[in-house]
Amino acid sequence: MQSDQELVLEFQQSSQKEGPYTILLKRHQQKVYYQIKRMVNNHMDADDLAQQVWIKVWNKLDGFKMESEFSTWVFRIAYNETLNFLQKEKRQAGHQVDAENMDYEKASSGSDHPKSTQIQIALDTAVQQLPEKQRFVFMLRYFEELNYEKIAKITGTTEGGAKANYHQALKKMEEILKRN
Amino acid sequence: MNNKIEDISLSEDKDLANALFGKEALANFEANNKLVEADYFDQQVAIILKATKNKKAPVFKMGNFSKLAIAASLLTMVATTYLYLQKNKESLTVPAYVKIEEIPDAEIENYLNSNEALAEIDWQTQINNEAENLETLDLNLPANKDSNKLE
Repeated sequence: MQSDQELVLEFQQSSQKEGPYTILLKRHQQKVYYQIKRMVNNHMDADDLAQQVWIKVWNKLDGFKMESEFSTWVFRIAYNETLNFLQKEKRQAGHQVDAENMDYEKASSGSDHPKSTQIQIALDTAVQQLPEKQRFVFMLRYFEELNYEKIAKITGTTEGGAKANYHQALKKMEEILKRN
Repeated sequence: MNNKIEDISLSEDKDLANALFGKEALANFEANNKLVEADYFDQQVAIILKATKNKKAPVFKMGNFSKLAIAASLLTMVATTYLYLQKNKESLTVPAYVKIEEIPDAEIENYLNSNEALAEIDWQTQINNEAENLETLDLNLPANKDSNKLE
């Protein structure tokens, strides 16, 4: 099986780009989609964003210098696209969601989650109220089980900064739980 | 060794989250997150590949260095033109005449020698002729220019 690096090289050196690109896409598309969906909390937006990410990958892969792993680079694009989307949504709404007033029911009604036990709703609510960067770091660490070095590269911070983001996220979620 | 430390750190981090919400709730969160149609990812591949075919590669991509080089060239052009115009303006404002006293005799002689036709003119005869013409002109003048009007 060809490594990501070999596929990237093949893409960059060959005129037949579709082959290596398709393999890379199939290899990483699920992780990218799931991470975006954890952030935006609905399928439609996650689907649009994931497509945008992969089209960007197609356009920029020729210039990718392989200073990091391909997966880190793709996650970095996904991180930027997702945060841009969430910030645009906030601006369009005209106001920031008032985290203090957000109740359990509100949090679960906007999501695609069919099952909603009390603790499940509490988790959804807490996650939704996290600042975007902390939320992204928490998801990468807990669900994708990435190390902090990689998370730091994806989010454009230091290893210490990424670690702090994860623990701040936990602290904030604990506060939200206690409040509710 | 590093991987082992990282594994411990990861499990510790996960335990903290598990203690907060319970492992099951977090597992359910992820299970719900992964709910998609069976062929969703195949469809996504087809859609993305179709989109990439419609996207043309950029014809020319300008790097920062190129942008700076073009800006520097333009700036040089503007500066050179300005300096050139300033220099010409100065040369135009300087009066273009020379005092006759400053012209050396040799130069005057050279000029006259090279213009022999000028030197050969019999100036006295010419003056006399002109004077005669003037006299003739006076005789032909009507005594009273306004008399025609009266007639």
